Amino acid sequence: MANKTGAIISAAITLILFVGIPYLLPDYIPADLAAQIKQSGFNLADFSNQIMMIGVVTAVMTLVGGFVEPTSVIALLVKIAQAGFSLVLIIVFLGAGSIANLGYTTFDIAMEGVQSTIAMDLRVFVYISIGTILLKVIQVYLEWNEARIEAAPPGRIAP
Amino acid sequence: MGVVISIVQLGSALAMVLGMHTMLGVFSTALPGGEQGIEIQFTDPVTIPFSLSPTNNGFLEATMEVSVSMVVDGVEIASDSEGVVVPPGSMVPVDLELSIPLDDAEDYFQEGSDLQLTTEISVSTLFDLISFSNRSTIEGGMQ
Repeated sequence: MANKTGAIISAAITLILFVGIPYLLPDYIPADLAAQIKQSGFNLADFSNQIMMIGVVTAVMTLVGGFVEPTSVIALLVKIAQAGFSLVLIIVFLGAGSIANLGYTTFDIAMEGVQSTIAMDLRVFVYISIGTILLKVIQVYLEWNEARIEAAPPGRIAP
Repeated sequence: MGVVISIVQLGSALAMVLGMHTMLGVFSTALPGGEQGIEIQFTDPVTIPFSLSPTNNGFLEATMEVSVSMVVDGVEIASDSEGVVVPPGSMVPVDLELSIPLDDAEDYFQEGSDLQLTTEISVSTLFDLISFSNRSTIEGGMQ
């Protein structure tokens, strides 16, 4: 019961953070800043949509994870998928909305006769995130395997 | 293993916040402020000085590389560059100068020549693992 309640609360928080806020955010951006963002070639609507999609998928997986048997294969797959989506979220953030950028972002801005190219290199954090997510997947598997062994009847080895 | 993952994640989040704060802080203070224009000194040779004063209000050491060049009709006629290390809590002045012979300058600065001034400021920190750069090209900047 506690698992299910926790999953519902966690899914609700995920929806608020990654769907509600990105949905409302464009309305609160000042017009001049919005114009500058548009001029830089950064597609804010696309970025928000990506965050919201990841948010919805993560919330659904959190719910599913709370309602399935912790020792089932589905529980393991959901946890691994959650780790994968958290990596996608980090890469989308660091790449300013583009997964293909992998943390290296460039913007071209043309204003009053000045052509500027801004580049930001945050690739090292993408590499660190890939490393930690791989460790997380290993941890999830080891914990799931341990839970399965503990849940097996006495004298039987879990398949 | 969970503790190790959490420590690495927290460490990288902290490093990112500190790195961004240092990088963007140094970059924004390096930019000439206000309505400061480019002042050409018509001596022989003609010189165009550029002064920057990057200030590091962050907590990490930053490396800044600045280059400035003038291109006329697609040919680079003058350039200068400098790299400085800006320790936390300090300001390191950077002075660059473009120098052009007076006779050549008179030709370059006449109407009709395709003149471009390019500046590039690059700031890196966190042992040069992250960086921020801005390359600006001003078309017909000499007036």
